[in-house]
Amino acid sequence: MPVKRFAIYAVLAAFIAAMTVVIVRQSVIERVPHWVITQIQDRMSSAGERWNTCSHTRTYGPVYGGVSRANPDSMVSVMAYDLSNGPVRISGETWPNYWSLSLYQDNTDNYFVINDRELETSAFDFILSRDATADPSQNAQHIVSPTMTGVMVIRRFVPSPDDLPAVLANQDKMYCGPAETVS
Amino acid sequence: MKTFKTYLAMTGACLVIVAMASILSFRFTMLWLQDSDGVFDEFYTTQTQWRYSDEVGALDASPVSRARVAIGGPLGLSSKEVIYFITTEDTDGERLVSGCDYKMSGSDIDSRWWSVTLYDSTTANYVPNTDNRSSWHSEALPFNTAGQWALTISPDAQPSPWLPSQMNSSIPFDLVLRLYNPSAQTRADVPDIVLPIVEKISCR
Repeated sequence: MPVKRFAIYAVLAAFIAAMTVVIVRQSVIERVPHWVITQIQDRMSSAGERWNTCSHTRTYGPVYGGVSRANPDSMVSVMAYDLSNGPVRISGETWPNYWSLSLYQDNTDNYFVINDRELETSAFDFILSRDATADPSQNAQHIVSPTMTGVMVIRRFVPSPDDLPAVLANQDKMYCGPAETVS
Repeated sequence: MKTFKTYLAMTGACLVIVAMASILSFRFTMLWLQDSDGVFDEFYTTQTQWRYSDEVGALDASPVSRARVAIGGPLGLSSKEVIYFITTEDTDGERLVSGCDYKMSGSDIDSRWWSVTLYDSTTANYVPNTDNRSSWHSEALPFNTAGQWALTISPDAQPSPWLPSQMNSSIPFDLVLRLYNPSAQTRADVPDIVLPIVEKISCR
C-alpha cells in the first residue's frame, strides 16, 4: 500500500475514532442522570410494583445502603410517580421543625420544592399531572410535571429520637395515589 | 469484485473502530464521572477548604454537574431551599482520612437549621458505627457561652460530641454541610460566611 494512501486511511480512522469518543462521552454524560433516577424509581417502587405509592423511613438516624449522601437528620417519605394513567394526589400534614416537598423530573432536576413556611396551612394537598388544564380539583394545589415519571421526596427534620412517634403518626396521615381517590 | 471486497473491508474496519472507541469512551467517561473526589470538581472553591454549589438539582445545571451530582448525591434540593458545602480536606489542605483524628469547630450559621454529615468517599454512604451517628445538626450540637461549638472526628469512641469515621485506616471521607433555608444575609454573603474549620489532631 502506498504510503500516501496509508496516511489517508490512518487519518480517517483517527477521525472516526475521535468523533465516536466525543459522541459517546456526551451521550453518557446526558444519560447518566436518567439511569440514576431509573434505579431510584425501581427501588422506591419495588421494581415497578408500587408506583404512585408512598414509602416512609420508619427509623431514626442513618439508614445504610440508601441513595448516595442522603441526610440522616431528615425522615423522608418518597414516591416514584408515573402519570401515564392520570394525575396523582399527595396530601397530609406538614411537620413543624422543617418540612419540604420536592419533585424531581426524570433527569434528577429538582423542578419543584415548597417548605412548611411557604404553605399557608399545616395541611397540604397537591395534585401532580402532565397537563396544566387537566385538573379541575377543588382546593388542591396543581403541579405540572415536566416528565411523565419522576420522584417525590418529603423531608422532615427530626431533631431527636423522642420525636419518632409523632413523625410516624405524621407519615400515617399521608395519602399518595390516584387523584380521583378521596383521601 | 475487488472494489466490493475493498468496500467490505473498509466498512468492517470502520465498525471495529467505532465499537472499540465506543467501549473505551463509555468506560473512561463512567470512571471519570464516578471518581470519588472528582464528584465535587464542579463545585465552586471558597477561601477555605470548603467547596459549594448552587447547581445541585438546578434546572440550568451543566450536563457534567448534573451527571456528577446524580452519581455522588442525587435528589438534592435546589439552592432555593438548601446551600450545600463539601470538604474533602483539612485546614492544611490534606485529604481527610480515617487514620487521623480531627477537631471540627465553628459557630452558628444564620439559617433555619444546618447539619454536618460524614460520608465514606469510597461508597458515598454513611459509616456504620456503634453510636448510629453520621451527623450533627445545629439543634443537637452543644454551643459554649461564646456561641462556639466543637466536635471530634475519629474512628475511636470519643466524649460527645463525636462524629465517627471509618475503622479501617486511611479510607478517605468527606464532610457535607447543609444550610436549610439560609437567611437573606447568609445567601447574600455566600461563600464568604464563617464556615467550620477541620483541624488534624493526630494520625495513627
